[in-house]
Amino acid sequence: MTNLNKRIIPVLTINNRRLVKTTQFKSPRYIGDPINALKIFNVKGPDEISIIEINSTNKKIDFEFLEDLASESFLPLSYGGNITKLEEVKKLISIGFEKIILRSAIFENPNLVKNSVSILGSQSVVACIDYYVEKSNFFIKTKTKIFKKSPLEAAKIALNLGVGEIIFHSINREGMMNGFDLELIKETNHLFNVPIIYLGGAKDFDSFNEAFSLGAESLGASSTFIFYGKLKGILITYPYSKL
Amino acid sequence: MIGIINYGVGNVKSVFNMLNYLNIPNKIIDDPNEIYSCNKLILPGVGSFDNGMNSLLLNGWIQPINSHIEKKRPLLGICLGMQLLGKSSEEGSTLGLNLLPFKVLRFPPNKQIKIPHMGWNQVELKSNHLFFEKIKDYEHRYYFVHSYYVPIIDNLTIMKSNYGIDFSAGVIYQNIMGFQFHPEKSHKYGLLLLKEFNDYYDKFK
Repeated sequence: MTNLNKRIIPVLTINNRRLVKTTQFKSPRYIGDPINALKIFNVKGPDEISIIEINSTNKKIDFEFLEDLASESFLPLSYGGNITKLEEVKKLISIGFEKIILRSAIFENPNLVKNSVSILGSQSVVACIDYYVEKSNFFIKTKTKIFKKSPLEAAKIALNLGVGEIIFHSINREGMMNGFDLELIKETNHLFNVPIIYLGGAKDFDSFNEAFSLGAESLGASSTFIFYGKLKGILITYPYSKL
Repeated sequence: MIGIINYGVGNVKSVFNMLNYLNIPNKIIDDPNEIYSCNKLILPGVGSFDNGMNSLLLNGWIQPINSHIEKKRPLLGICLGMQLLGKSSEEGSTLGLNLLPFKVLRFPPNKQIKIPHMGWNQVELKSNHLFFEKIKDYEHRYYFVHSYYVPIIDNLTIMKSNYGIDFSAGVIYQNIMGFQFHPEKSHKYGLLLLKEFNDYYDKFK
């Protein structure tokens, strides 16, 4: 895990200026103040930090808050959530985010993805593919829709639009701390020539090592950097810093 | 006063935040005429080569930047900002600022590596260069996000990194500098380097 190319990325989910943690996209638990959390993470020195707004009723991006948040970190940041316009994409970059994360747009607004790539370059446009398995069938979830597609099929659509990075986010594993989707890692890590981040299920040091040993290059995680002990007390940690 | 050129798609705020943390006087400049009141410039940049270059052209930045350079005042290009200092890029058809004699290339296809080059990487210094006088004994690792690179060029390259092939992580020619990585996102390593950019050129006053 000393390899500089391997990234471990904390993913922070925000709900209306509150840091929350969900389980399988449900039952958000309040964790604390995101700005304070980012301050702590900035000291701990993760490889990157992703911020995801999960409040989908509020359709506006909270730029004022995000700008405050970004000013707390001297580390690479990405943001996803409620991005619908090219103007928003540009503004996110200018206030301190290196990358934007698109999800619904991949399937529902491909022009936004293409235009973002042509303005920012593919290196700054990330596709997040939220997938789950039900009765051996794969489904992809966007903000309002569900598609019967495999993560691989979804990734191909995203890559055709020019994105420079893909997050495979397992909804079944989200917040479960039961290990990464090793099947998907084995199946996909060598298929694409862009970086892939596997997210969902991170548990501990061994779970990261296991995923890396199967060929993953980048891993995202949330609960494991936020919760402590069996009773899930709140404690922000990041034991993998390269600083 | 360092002017941070805000020409559309740069992550100007991150540079601004880091310079503030270092207590280095700086301002984000939205109007090309403000260049004349700055003794140092930073050209940040996230985005595609043509889009970056066109934003500079259409908004009247080129002439003030050239005049800044003619006055021997320092200019630092970061990421795309560094690439724009060159002649051209395989990423697009627009000509660059042509301040430094390099052409930006695409990483060659290689099964072992993924493109973009994204993440932390070790950087090797041309440690006898005066720029590193105070910082050559520190470790140098920085955060990169790019799909195109500037090749190694004698007398220009002062920082080298490797991603499948060796490439220029940092270049310098007199008052013109460029970093391919993001110092403003490279935490303590970046803080050290941006402080040095500010101090280095003051030596020659």
